[in-house]
Amino acid sequence: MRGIANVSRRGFLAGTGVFVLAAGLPAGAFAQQEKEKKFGGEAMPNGLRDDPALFVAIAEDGTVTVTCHRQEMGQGVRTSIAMVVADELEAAWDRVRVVQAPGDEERYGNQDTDGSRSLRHHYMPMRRVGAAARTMLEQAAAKQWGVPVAEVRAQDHRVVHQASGRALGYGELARAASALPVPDRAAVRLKDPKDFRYIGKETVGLVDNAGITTGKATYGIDVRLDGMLYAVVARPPVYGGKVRRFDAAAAMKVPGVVKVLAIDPPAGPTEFEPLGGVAVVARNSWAAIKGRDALQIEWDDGPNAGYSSAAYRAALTEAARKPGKVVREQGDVAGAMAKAAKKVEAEYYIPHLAQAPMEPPAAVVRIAGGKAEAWACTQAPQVTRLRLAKKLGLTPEQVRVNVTLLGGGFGRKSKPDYVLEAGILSKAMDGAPVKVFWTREDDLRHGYYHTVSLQRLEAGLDAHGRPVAWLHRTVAPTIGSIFAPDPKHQLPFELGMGVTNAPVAVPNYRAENPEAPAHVRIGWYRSVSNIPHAFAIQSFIAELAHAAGRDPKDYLLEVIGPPRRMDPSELGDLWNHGEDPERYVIDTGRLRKVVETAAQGIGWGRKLPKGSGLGIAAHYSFVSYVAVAAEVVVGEGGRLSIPRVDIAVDCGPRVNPERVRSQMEGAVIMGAGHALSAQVTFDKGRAQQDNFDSYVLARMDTAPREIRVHQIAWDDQTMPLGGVGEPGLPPVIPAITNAVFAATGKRIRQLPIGDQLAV
Amino acid sequence: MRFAWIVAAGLAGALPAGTAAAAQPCAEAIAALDARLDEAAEAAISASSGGQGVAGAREGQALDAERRGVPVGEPAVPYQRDAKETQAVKEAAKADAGGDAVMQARAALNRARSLDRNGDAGCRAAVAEAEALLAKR
Repeated sequence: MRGIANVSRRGFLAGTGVFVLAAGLPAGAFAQQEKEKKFGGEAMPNGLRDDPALFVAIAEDGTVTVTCHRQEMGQGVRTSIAMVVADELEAAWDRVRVVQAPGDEERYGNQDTDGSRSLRHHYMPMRRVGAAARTMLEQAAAKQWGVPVAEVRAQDHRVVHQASGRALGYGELARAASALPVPDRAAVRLKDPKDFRYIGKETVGLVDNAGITTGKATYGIDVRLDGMLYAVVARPPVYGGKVRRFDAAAAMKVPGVVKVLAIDPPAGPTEFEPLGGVAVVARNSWAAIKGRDALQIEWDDGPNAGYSSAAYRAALTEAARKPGKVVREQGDVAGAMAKAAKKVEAEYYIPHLAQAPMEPPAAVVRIAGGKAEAWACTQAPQVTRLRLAKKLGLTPEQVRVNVTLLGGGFGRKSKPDYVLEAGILSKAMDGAPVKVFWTREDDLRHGYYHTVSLQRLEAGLDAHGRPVAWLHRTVAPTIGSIFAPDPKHQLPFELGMGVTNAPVAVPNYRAENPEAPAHVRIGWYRSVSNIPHAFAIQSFIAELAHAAGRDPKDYLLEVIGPPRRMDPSELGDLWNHGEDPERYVIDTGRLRKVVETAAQGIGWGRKLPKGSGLGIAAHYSFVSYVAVAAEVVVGEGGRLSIPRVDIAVDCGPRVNPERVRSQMEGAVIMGAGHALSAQVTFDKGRAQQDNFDSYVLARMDTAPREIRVHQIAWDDQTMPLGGVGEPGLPPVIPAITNAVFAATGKRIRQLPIGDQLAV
Repeated sequence: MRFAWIVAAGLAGALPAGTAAAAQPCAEAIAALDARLDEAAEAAISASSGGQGVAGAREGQALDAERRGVPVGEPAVPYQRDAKETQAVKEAAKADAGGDAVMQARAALNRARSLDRNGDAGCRAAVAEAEALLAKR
């Protein structure tokens, strides 16, 4: 094993001279107090922890070890969590190291890393962790010197007594501090934000940078154990299919193949279960792949054998043209539409997408002595642990899940089906360590796909071109289809991603959700349903601006309306990203601000040569506000390039601005790929794309040449934090397609753009 | 209602007002239901949770149980130990499958508000529809 350090099975006390602060106290003694209604992190399974004993250890040489309980997939959470703890602890950054917690939510609190909420939920608990540890070090020093604790102060990895000039390093104090009780939360003094040395600043680099850039970091696919076997699985090519019969004779003749066995498909909704199929276990990865190639399998394609993207799009369109379940209503849409001076309608199609993380799913499981141990690139180690225990007939205490770095996740690695496959195969191999690895083709053919959708919008404009009536029908198969049989409607949390909470100042507004059955595994994908909703709404606003003869940016601001603060649940949003609707309101003043910032950044209104255009879009998601202004050039033969993108983000107080910037840059590049070329289509139930030659993401020649990130800075630390990982993506796509219209007059209503600009 | 729409004067005419109907009986029914909806909305948000995985699992199972008219069973996905997650899914179901009926009731009540503003007798029916949806919880 190389690279990423995991918390020792036996805990920090196993080491010599390393002291967990107040390890003797029961874990959770410092946990959140119960409330009748919980929101945010407190409402998540197993809630929040802020006990320094769980997260901080200090060695006699002064090394501070911070345990990160959130999973690292490129977003920099291991750095950001450590920054917060270290800042409050007054620790010197070069003496801080980070270890990764295993899956154990009852110990560490919620670990499921999704929803753009690691810092949103854990920022304050981690501040309290650092501050409590600092307080204990100060108390230990004061006790040693026999002075009031008020006379000492922690500064840069030591505690000083200014009156006498004495100082003790953290390493010298660790043993004594660890014997003290953890102070009550009320007695813990948080730093004045003006004294922050890491939070909100760009003073530290990523803790994993050196390992990543030198190839020493350990991802799930890198894990190697002695005697480890390698396995790949031939899965049903059609969702819901199963093996009718198979012949393993040729596969068994491939040198290195040791076993071929069937994996049962799930009996009910697939949730996180393996899809089933035939596994080939071998002594090396090449033999496993060649053995799989040699398998003779007859498939029963099951109920989704007729799934075709073209036909399904027609069905979605038909559904969108009929009334559906009303999920939001204000005013009288029909009445206002009847009186409108002008009507505009448009339909937008957004195809399936695949998360396609650079590292496909991979996991190792071994079983010995009645216990199982897994190494996996998982976003959700706790659900992995519980699911693996159930699959293997063990208790959770008999299962340990070690988390490696994730080479991207985007929601795919929240579902531990691949870890369960490894568990099943290890059990079949008498507990030998088995690595299941998915090839790129496996990942693209058998994914938890981003939903496909048809968005229909209709608007009535008054004589001044202002929208007075608005109808939005969103039709898409739901993520709920993996948890329950045959649901037809999107769930409230999906609709709360840009429909039931869309902040538009239109007096008569109606949103409907017609039925759409699922025929593939639908899963969450970075930004989830915000992607189709933002694309449709922001494209439609630009279309309305054109119909009204108005500037798109000015019109967008007018549709957003004047600055106001809205309770999302009053609009009809019954999710609100799990946050308290009284604390997390929708502030259109902040949305306007990012629009104006992005527009100013790109030089909105400047003259451009023929074939060039500017587009703009904005979206509120994950309780953050993002706007994107894009410049495109459409050249000969419809060749599209993106010279520049300006993205403005308001996520409230920023913990790690460097990571905010990188997440926005990543979102722009990802969004460019979605706008230009990415899609997964199906024919006869089978995915038609299986590698990056056919599932085309942004490449060097199509990625924006310049990305400028504008971060709205807030000094007010009492403001709630917003998400960062996901909210950048949704407005990127419509900003690009709106720019295409400005450049060419061609309106993009289906993604990807593909060859639509070819002339 | 916790937050009124704070509307700048320029757009005040374009957004819901409703003060003229304040004294009408239907307006009283709307106000009474509004408070219940606020409470139900908070409960639904709280029960659903902020992670899209947990929200999807809880809402999906709760809505399915409601659709089929059966009690919520064991959770499909153990995001926490079975007993705790079973309770959480039951709470999501009790809070109306993550707010599905509350969401529809809010839409119906807003329609009632609009009808009331226009003096339309259909207001009562819309309130009744909202009440029926809320009663499904």
